Amino acid sequence: MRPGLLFAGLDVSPADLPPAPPDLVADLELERLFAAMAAGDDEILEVARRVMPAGLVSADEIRYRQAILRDLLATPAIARELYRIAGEAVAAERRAWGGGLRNAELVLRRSVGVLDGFLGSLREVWAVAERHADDVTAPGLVAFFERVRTELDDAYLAQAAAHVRRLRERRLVVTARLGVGNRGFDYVLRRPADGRSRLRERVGLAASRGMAVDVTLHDQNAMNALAELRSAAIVPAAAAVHEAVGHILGFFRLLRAEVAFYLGCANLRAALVGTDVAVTFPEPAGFGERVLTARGIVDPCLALAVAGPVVGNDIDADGFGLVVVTGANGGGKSTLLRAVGLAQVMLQAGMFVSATELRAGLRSNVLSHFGREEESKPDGGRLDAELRRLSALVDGATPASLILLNESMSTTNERDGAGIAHEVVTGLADAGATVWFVTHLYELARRLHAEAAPGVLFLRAERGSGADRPFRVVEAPPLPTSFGMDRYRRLRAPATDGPPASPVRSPGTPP
Amino acid sequence: MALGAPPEIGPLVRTPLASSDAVSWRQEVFRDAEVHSTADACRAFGAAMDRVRSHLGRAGSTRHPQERDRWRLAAMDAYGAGVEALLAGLEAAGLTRVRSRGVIAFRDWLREYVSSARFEGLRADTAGALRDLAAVTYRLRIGEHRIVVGPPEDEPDYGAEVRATFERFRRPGTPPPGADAFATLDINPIEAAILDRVVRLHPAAFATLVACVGRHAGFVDPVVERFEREARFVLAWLDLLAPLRERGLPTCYPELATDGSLRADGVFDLALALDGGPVVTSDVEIAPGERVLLVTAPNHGGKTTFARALGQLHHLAAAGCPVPAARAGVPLVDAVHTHFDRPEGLDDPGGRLETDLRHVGAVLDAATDRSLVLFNDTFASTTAADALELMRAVLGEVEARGARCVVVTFLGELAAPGGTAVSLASEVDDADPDRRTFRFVRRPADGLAHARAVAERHGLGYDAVRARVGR
Repeated sequence: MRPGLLFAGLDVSPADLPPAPPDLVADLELERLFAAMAAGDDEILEVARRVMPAGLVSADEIRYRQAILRDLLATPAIARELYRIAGEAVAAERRAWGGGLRNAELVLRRSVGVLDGFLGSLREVWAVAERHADDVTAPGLVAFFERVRTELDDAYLAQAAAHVRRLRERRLVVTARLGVGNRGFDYVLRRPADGRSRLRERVGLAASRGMAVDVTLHDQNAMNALAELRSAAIVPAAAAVHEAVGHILGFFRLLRAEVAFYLGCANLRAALVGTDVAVTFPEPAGFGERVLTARGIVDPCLALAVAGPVVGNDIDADGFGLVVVTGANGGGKSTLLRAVGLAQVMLQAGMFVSATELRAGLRSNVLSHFGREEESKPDGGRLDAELRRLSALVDGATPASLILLNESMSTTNERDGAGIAHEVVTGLADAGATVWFVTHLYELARRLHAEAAPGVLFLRAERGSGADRPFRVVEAPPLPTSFGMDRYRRLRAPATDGPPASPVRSPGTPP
Repeated sequence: MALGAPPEIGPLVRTPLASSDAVSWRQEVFRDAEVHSTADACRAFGAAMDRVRSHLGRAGSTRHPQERDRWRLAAMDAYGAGVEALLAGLEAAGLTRVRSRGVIAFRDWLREYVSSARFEGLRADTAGALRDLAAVTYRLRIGEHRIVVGPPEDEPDYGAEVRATFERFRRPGTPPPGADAFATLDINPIEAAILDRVVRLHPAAFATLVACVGRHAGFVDPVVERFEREARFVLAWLDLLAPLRERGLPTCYPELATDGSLRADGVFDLALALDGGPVVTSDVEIAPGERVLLVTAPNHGGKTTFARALGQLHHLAAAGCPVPAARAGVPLVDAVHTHFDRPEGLDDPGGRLETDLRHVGAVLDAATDRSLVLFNDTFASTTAADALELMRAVLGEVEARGARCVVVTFLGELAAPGGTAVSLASEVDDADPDRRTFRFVRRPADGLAHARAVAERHGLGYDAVRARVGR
């Protein structure tokens, strides 16, 4: 009895998933996405942090989640109710007094109380499955509802309730054997037969043969010893009930976490739709295949940040193992890189993506290295720190990785940086990984372009020709400048539209 | 019962052996114990004897007769099973691997012991009593103030029924409940009262128990006990060396030099190595006539360590143990006497020199022509001139007694030519072995080559990256 809403075959709880790699979270600004999913709910936040980066690697698993997400977006009440019921059950268990008890009898009493409460929650889950049986078509949801309706039916819940009643009786019958030091062990709680034997016990025949041990209330030592014995005798039974409580609690926790992920997706979609960003369910291609075709792909984090529409890009990168992005500063190169990375992560999380259309191969993982201020050390130290980070990235890479490099190798001079970067990116791409490299290292881009190796795509950020002239990324060979001067001039001459009349002198030039 | 606390192994390693035959007897045993199958058999036996002692301890600390007898029975069973397993282990190893006179003699004895009527009786009686007790089951009806003891009835396991009902929610990895059954170690008064009634329910089983325990009061054979003590010593020594051997440090079985010469390669200080620090090994060779070895070196040159290593080498060789060296021929000494300079303490009523002198005097009195004497910075508290004069006198006395002597000193003048003294000056290697060797890469004119070299240093060269990702 498991929900199975996140993984079709695997028995994995979101809590078991590893946290996202910190570099990826920072580089793709995943926290902004997580926050939009959580919409203020910490539990959803925690689940989003775990589930989203742990990508699925089979198209079937992805479609399994996509189908469930479609159903739950169509009938939001299902997810909301399951989330509430599971949350109440988990909270009730936490409130039950004496969670850390070591005395078996008290453990039993507490467990029975919790179990009693769980039975009510299970009945509610059953009611949701009954009420919405016709609202779902996703195989995962249909199967879950079917399990709930057959396995948690009236007969079953009545049987469970009978256990609760019996376990609350104070009288115990156990059998035991003699263990080390002739101390009783192997205590087994017995269910006494009704009728004759009970009658015989009531009449007290056994006691009359001198086989009874009586404990007077005044003898505190004996009362303690009796309590100890009761506790020892009840350990296996207490363990059984404690285990049962643990199992059901696990079920509710899992149900809550799994549903939380879908609620997060619903929250994110609402937020994106509010900013006029198009979302669509992407189409997964094969594992490790170098496929990426997208129409109108945007960086959802940017859309959430500016709370308005952002310009999308089209990408046709099928068959390319190394994509080199050059072009103007502020031309949206980093945004494009993030959009690609986020689309990949969201695709493999079984989510929608922010594009009008997208098809992509599945990746073992997404790794990123965004050039950032390394801890300020004297010159050699910064290069060393960057190379260590790159080396750690290579450690995590597989032939099916997607690797996003943004202005890597900027901690040394351009010649050395280009040389080192060439070794790394061609090594990664030739090993099978797919590498996107946003770079201002013209020497590198030029060398790669001159080598004309197959499978290398060159994109360039260029200003469009429209009225507000937004940047677009187009397929084009690298240019020997990154338009830094262009931008500088624009900043220096805000009043004029277009480049200023006189070129800015560099400090060294004589007037 | 002669058993008390676990046997101590100190005395064995503290006492040098008197003859070269005794040393090779023990070296043979060590070599046998280096074989895993033999060592494992002995280790398992040590663990069995630990259980025997623990069970007997419990028997001694309880008053309830049936509880006490059951602990004794457990001890008897652990002993019998341990002895049988030991013999089986030695027989299995012995097919090819047992060669030492010591282990062979013990194994032959053990064979006879295990087939003796006494031991066979112990095993049969123990098994019978355990079998009878294992068959005892009883039923308790536990109320608020009364427990009724009786024979078991045909009632289903209710815990299993509860488990079965909730099985469908099970996920792997659910933690087990943390419930401690009993706070006390011994049976409590209620349990004792129940046990009394269980005894009445099954009188025959308990009669067997009493008879069995009574028949085998002193069941541990003294020869077996002595074997255990000596095996513990041998294994403990090998266990001590094992991590050092894993680090690649050499150990060997020294030969005993009869001509008084010393020849050792790869000697190192065991104490330093066990602390886990970087280890420097040294080679040393002393011809038969050279009885005094002067070690001089600047401060922190490893002199003390070297002296300590030599002392350990002699002592351990005499104790028949494998030693910290790659190869060694060592004279058999009757004792290693030492005087190491220590900081002044409050218990030096006559000042430090006075204490040193008294200590040195005691060392000289104890030394024989078969002793090794170690002086480390002796008389460092006094002036160099005084120290020189004192050391010369001391060395004169050492030579008169015919003892062998190692002197670690800053007094280079002691190494006067002539006589039986040989001088060693340690060669100081100032390269810190812990520091990463810094490879200097010549910066060539070709920038690409330089970049490639930098990338390669970080495992980021083209070939390295391909190989790392492709695996």
